[in-house]
Amino acid sequence: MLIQVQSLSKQYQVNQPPVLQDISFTVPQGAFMALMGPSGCGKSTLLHLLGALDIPTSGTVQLGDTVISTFTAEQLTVFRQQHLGFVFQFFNLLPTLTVLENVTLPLLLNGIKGQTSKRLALDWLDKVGLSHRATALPPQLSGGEQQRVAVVRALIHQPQLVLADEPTGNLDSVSGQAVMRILRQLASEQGTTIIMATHSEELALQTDTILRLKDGVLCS
Amino acid sequence: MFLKVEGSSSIGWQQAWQLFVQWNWRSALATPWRTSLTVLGIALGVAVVFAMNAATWSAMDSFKAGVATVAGESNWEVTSTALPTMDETILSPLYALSAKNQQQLTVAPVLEGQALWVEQPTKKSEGAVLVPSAEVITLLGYDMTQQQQTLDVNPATTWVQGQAPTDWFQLLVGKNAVLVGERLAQRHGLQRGSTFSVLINTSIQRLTVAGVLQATGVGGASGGDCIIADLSTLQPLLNQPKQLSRVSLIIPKRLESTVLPKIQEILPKTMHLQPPKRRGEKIDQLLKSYQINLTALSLIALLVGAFLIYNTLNVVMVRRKPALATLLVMGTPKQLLQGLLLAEATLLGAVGSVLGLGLGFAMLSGMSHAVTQTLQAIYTGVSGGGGLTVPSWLPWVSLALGMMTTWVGAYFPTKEALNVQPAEAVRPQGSQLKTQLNTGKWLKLGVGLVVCSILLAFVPPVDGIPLFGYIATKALLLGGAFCLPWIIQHSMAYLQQTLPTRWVWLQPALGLFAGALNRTATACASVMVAIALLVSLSLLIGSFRSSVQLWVLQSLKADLFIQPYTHEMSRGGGRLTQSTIELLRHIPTVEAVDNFLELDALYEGTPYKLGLGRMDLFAKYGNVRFINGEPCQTVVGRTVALAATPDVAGRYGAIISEPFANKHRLSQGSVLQFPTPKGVLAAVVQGIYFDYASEQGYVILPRQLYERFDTSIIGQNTSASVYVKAGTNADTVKTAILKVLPPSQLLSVRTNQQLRQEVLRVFDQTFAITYVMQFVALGIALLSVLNTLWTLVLEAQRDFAILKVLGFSGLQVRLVVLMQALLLALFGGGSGLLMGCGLAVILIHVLNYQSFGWTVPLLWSWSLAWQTMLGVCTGALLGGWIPANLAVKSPIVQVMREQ
Repeated sequence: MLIQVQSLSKQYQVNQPPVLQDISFTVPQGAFMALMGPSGCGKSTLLHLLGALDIPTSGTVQLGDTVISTFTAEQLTVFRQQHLGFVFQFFNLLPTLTVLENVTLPLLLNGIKGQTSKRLALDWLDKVGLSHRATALPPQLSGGEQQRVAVVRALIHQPQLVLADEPTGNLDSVSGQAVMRILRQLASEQGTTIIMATHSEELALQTDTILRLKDGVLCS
Repeated sequence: MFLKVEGSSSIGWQQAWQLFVQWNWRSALATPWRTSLTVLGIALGVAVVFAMNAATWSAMDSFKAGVATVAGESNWEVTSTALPTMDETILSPLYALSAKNQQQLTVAPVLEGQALWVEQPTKKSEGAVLVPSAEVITLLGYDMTQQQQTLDVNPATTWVQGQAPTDWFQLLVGKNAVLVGERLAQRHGLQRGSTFSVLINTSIQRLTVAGVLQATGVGGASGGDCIIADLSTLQPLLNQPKQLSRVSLIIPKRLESTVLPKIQEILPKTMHLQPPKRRGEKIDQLLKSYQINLTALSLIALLVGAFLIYNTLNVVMVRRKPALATLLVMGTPKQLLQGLLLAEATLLGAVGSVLGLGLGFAMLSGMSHAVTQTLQAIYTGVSGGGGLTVPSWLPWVSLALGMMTTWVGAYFPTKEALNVQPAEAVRPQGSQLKTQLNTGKWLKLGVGLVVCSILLAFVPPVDGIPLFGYIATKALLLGGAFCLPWIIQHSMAYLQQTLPTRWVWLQPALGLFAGALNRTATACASVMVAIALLVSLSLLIGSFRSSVQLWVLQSLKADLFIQPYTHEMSRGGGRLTQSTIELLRHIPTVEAVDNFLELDALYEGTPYKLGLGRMDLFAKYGNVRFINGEPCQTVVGRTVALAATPDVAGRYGAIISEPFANKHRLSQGSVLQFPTPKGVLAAVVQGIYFDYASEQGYVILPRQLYERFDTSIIGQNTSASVYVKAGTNADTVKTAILKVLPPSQLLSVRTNQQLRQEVLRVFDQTFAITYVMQFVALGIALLSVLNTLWTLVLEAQRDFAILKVLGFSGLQVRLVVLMQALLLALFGGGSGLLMGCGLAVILIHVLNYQSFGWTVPLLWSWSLAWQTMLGVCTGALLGGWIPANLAVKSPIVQVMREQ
């Protein structure tokens, strides 16, 4: 799905400078794009706007032919359920749910339940080498393992778009590389578009496109 | 390509249930302490509400059931308009009327009294003096010659198997042959042919069991704690020859129009015809104030519980905010999340309510005993005795109240779930869930409620119930709670500006406290409500006790007080014989004896106490305080003069107590009319005196005057006040009295000091039950403080980490948390003290005055104020210790890295 961002701006408070200013770019379907820039440049804000987690001050985000800022609350919820996956820096796995339950959660929200979702989840966990930890609780896993579970959770319901906010920021380099590999591999298998915010030049170079932000403005 | 966003976001019940179990249920179990605190808070509130109401209902039901059970099928009854008994001469015309109507009219005379159980001496202790127990037994006398009529009146009457009388004639001619109720028989192992002793008036009587009745029909009187005898047996035992308490009648509906007017014609003015349920209604009316008072106070415990639920769910919201936001990012509908949180609160509320119900049942036995004793102490003349009969709807209502409390407390925090933004999932944990409070709006609402409360306090009672007074208490507490956010906000701003430099390290405590206004104000409000309850009740009890102490000191002037045990225990029955009075008068060291007769009477259908005493002694020794400040001697002197020579309208003088005056809206100069066998006795109120002995009120008339109108009371006495000669020791006279009294006379002889102590003991017993509520409310409030501090620390973990990075020592971080605990205690406790004073004014001058009719000057206590503040601050600091430890252990590296 083609993502078109046009003249996107975000200003949190009237007396303060905008966090994002007049951002325009296009992401082709199935692309893996990196958002780079120093802290406070607006990477996270841009991710929030792309995922309809926040509302832009001006400009539009268009997925295919649909402008997501025109969605109703109900449509936004359905959009997140069906078309969006999110990988967080701090994993954000639900601590009281087992690995398997965390992974099946998006399926549960999409009406897939019982053995079907369990089988699917175990298949996916197998792909990331974690099927043996299916009954473990998140705090019992290492950071790298938790992030692999988070990646599976973001992709299992086959969303059109996955947003990743510093997905390796909280991991050592080996675990970080493993997560990147899995993310790229799984996304390419199902043609999912990935937009990843990162500080790491090394990680960014592994993506298809790099978008650089500085002080809320697009540099390249 | 179009993005398809179709279908509903809502998910099925099965998925919702799965999410509830995986997320809510496990999260609740993962924090057992917090979950237990919440459940405990609700459980305590429900337990108090249930036990308190069940005990009151049970006691009231028992009193009313006694009337209904004994009344049986009778649909009308003849009773005295003013006095507890009436002359049996009324029976002849009633029997004649029955005969005229082919016996279709059933006439059943009844005499009621009370006895005290006396333990049988064992062989070893034979010859020892028998001492009556505190076990009160109801005596019922029927005309056994017409025993069939008795059974007609009570067709439910049945015999315990094998315990029916073998010879009815024995009941008529046998020496003290009686029937006993099943419960009494079971407790003391009585069966047909057994003999046992009871104290009736001042004498121990030996009775023989002729049969044992099941606890149905007449046998169900006082729950089966009853003795039934023929009138000819009971009248002499009670020393009430030819006297009846009432005549029960069964009048077929079709005959009512013709028979009722004829009965009215027969009846003298001292008697009236009424349905039996009217007696029950009177008792009901009598006890309603007490019941509503307890219910209103117990609901405050639930109000504190609501604050606790609110705070607990706030903690839940803070802890689970990242999970909430993550679920939102994944497309979980907000309504579902709110529903899941509400369901979790409902589950906790349900568990707490059910647990509270169990706890309530466990507390019920003790509470019921306390309530019954309190009722008997306040409302003399009523006797319980029935078992615990909890109305079937009460557990459900208690559960419903528990659930409503839960939902009220849960509403706002779960609503806050809807304000969580998905973007918060990508922010670090521990950030605050701040809700912008419009403190000005809440202040206006709060002030409005306080003003309403003041206005409502001036509204007169509805049907004798201070309904608006109760609403005023709730309005005041809510008003105070709503003002708190503004007060805290502005106080904090002032403190932050004026904090001395050397205390500047406390600045974060003030900032964090003010920053989480939503939570701190709620915690302060829950402490405020609990402290207000504690302070107001303490002030009420303290002021009341002080008034009673002063009243006892002023009004109890005699050196010795003598009364039958039966009168003392049952506060209704028991008489001193005139010969006993004469014996007392002839003791050389005795200066004077005031033989007093206290009768449970009716004035305009409302029960009151008619006191008949010697006014000459009252004038000489009496020292009661009159409302208008007149000296006692002046008022009594006028009454004595009028007793000798009535005014031109033929009216005499009477003295009335304040509760009686308030109940009947009387003032000095009002005219009272008492129907007597010799016509109406009209008396002008000469003075109104402060009195705390009876909520029903007293009318004091010169004894000699009343005897002229009703000769049946001559020689009847319920107590005697003995004045000893100057220079004589009261204890010596007490010994002399006990010596001259015949051994068969069992009397309670108390010195002035002993009686004063007894009055205060009864007073303390009356209020024992309120202490339970005070401590439960305080307990719940402290749980609330603990919860809030926990929330504040969790919310401010980032701030604590930063403080530590900036060089704050562990001690200083601990002090920052403890400072917040102290602020909670100071704001909650301080406002609680203020609200407590306001509540005390309403309790004393509105609720107490409108319910019971007595004036109690409010007595402020500084020691109460500082002790309360010390207690709250200590409790808060102790409660803050664990959250302070949590703050000290706040992981700097992790928190900073998350930033």
